[in-house]
Amino acid sequence: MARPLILQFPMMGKNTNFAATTQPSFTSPRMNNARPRDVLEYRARGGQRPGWAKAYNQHMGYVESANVPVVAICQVTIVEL
Amino acid sequence: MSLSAPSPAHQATGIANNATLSWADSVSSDYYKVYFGTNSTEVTAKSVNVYRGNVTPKAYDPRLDLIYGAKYYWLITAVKAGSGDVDSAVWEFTIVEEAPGLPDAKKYKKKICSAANDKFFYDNDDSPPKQIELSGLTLNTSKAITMFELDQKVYIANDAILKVVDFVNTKLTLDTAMTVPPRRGQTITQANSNAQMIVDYVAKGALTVIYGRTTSGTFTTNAADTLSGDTMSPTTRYPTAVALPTTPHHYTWGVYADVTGEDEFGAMPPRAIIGNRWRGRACLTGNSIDPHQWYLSRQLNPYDMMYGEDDEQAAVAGTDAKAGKVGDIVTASIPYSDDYKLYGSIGDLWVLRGDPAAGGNLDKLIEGIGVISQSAWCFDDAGNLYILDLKGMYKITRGLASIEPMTSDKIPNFTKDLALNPETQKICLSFDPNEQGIVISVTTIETGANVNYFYDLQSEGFSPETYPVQDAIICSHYYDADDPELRHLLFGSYDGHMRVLDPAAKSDDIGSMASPASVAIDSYVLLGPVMIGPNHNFNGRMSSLTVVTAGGKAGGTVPDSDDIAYAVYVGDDAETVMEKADADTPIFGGIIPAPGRAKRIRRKARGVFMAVRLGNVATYVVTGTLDPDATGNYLYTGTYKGKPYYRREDGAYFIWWYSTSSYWIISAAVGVLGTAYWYKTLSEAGEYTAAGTATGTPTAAASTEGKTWGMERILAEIEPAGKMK
Repeated sequence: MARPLILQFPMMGKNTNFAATTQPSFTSPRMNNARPRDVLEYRARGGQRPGWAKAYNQHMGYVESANVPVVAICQVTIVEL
Repeated sequence: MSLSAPSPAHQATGIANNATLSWADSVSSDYYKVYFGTNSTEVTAKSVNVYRGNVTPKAYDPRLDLIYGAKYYWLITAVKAGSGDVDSAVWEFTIVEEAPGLPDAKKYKKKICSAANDKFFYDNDDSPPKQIELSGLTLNTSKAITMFELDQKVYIANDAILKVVDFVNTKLTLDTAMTVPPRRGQTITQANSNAQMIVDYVAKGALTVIYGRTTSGTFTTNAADTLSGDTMSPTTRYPTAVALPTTPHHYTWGVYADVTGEDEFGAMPPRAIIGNRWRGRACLTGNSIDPHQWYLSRQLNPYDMMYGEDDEQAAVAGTDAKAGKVGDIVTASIPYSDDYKLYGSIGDLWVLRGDPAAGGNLDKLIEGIGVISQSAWCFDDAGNLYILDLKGMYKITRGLASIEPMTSDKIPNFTKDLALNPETQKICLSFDPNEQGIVISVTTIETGANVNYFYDLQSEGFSPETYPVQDAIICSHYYDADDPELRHLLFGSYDGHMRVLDPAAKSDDIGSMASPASVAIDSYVLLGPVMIGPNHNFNGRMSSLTVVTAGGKAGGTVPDSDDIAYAVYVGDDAETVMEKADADTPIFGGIIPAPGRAKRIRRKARGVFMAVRLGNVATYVVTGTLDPDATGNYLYTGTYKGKPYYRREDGAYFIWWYSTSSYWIISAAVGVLGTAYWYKTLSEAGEYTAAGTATGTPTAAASTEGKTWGMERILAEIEPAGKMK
């Protein structure tokens, strides 16, 4: 007689602390680029991580030979009189 | 004894609703009785209803907001012993007719600043803002650097380069150097124009420039319009140039010019790579010449570094304080409210409790747990601190109440997997309030190779992530912008852009504006291994698999998942299942059409353990001048001979693994070479060689088309399938 088996999304992320035979519930030994919250509705049900997008169109680290990283970011608040 | 000169004046109109009353008296009376109200009869009769009490000064504050448009009456009785009481006339005034409009809620603006390529960038006032270069400011971005905000300016600690970017002050360049500068915080005034400023900064040894906040008028460059005020001397100096902060000023961060002729403000540290603010002080550390040292400026005066003065707001450094230096090389400086400041070293954590200029102490908080680098820590929005040490990640609960290891019971090899090496890597912990999680990023500086985890605060789980080299994280800052559209955790990327992790992005941006490009995200999870046999000696059989993807039926109000690739692995034991998953040799696999509940997959798999891999659908694009024409998009379709195979969208061609000769093949049918086909070794991607009657050189490349997925539920049906040997 067949019985149902629910396979759970690894909400609690990667876990390599136990024998594979006793892999803890809601964990996975292998996963990449997946998060507990899907990006579609931010529900805790599992899905792909958000993708990278430009915050600014300007290319601060542009040089002709090879680009260089943005190394520091901060914000400043200015009072308007 | 007579009362006169009422203020507000008798019968005045348009008076502000917070007016105070005052009057004049011909003699000095002992005190005054005040009668004040909106009923003229009661005021005239000096009714108790409008009696407001006695005052000694010739002034009275109603201490309440008066009613807009109302007329108020008032009468003062002067009382002097031996002279009898004298009443004023009944005076009246009217409050401004209409209430002013709603208060302007926003009196400030926020800007993001960044550093790259030895340059400093800041938001202009466009909407959305653009990052524009601040001309003339040269940094050394190959050295460690931190930037922090204090008093409407950005302070930069970049090893031997200490700079200020000033968004608020007016810069006056004088015709000739002053002999004595005005003191900080004092007002100077210009003759004729009557312009005034509160002086903020005059650099020691540079008495020809004054930076200050203009409070009234407009400064001019006429020789007759001389400057004076406070200790400024001589008073014949005038500005030859006036620069408003329309474009931010930048200058070397030094100490303030001496006013008394003695050394009043000390000296800046020669080097610092870590800077932040705490208790209103500018804090510096990371001086490679004196790596145990820390420096705090005077409170609200980053230009005063005169340590050890005898007042509680004075500048203070480890050498000059009872607290002393840190007992190890400082790798991180972590300010938290006014309560404490932590200093991390590679192996230990120290806490500075209380203000060190007022008896604060520096104690070792933890032995054997440190902070691996200057960005390897972050706070969450509940005030808990997270730090990355060579042994793992730790949570220090709010108020330093407890220290909890986070990784040892989940991923024992966490730091080994990350291959932590602060000498060659940029290591950051970044709290994202939007995602309620922490991005832990380790990027190799030389190559951009990266290993990352996302730690979810709710589930307390670590999810590994990999990013294209272009997107590898170097630095981060959460921008609490007023515009919700701009409110993001910002990341400084390896390729010199500033990026965000955008839920709407289905692929990773790797291009520039000139050459846009993106790459699909290789995302997957392995569900299991789970036992499907009754016990370790009995096989089980999975007889069906039902997957419900996010989005309900196509369309509707709920966003839809894209299709999901699946693969099923079975084995006699759990580790065999994992090995098959690692080798990508499933017993079968395919595509789950999304969204909603997909048709039940009625394929059977037998074993003691099983695992199911779900992930993004891999797609290859085949290009070239080919005969027959096999170009087009090939979608992952399932497995053949233990390897994935791909079907062109119209089903006319396939990419598949030919196990007999260990070739990847492009042909018209899976498992059949046919008369025209192409082949290659190693992997699906790359250039193929023509064979048979085929001509041309097809190239298969991973598609850049973005897809994303979300799942609701996955259900297998299992049953016993016989005892094992």
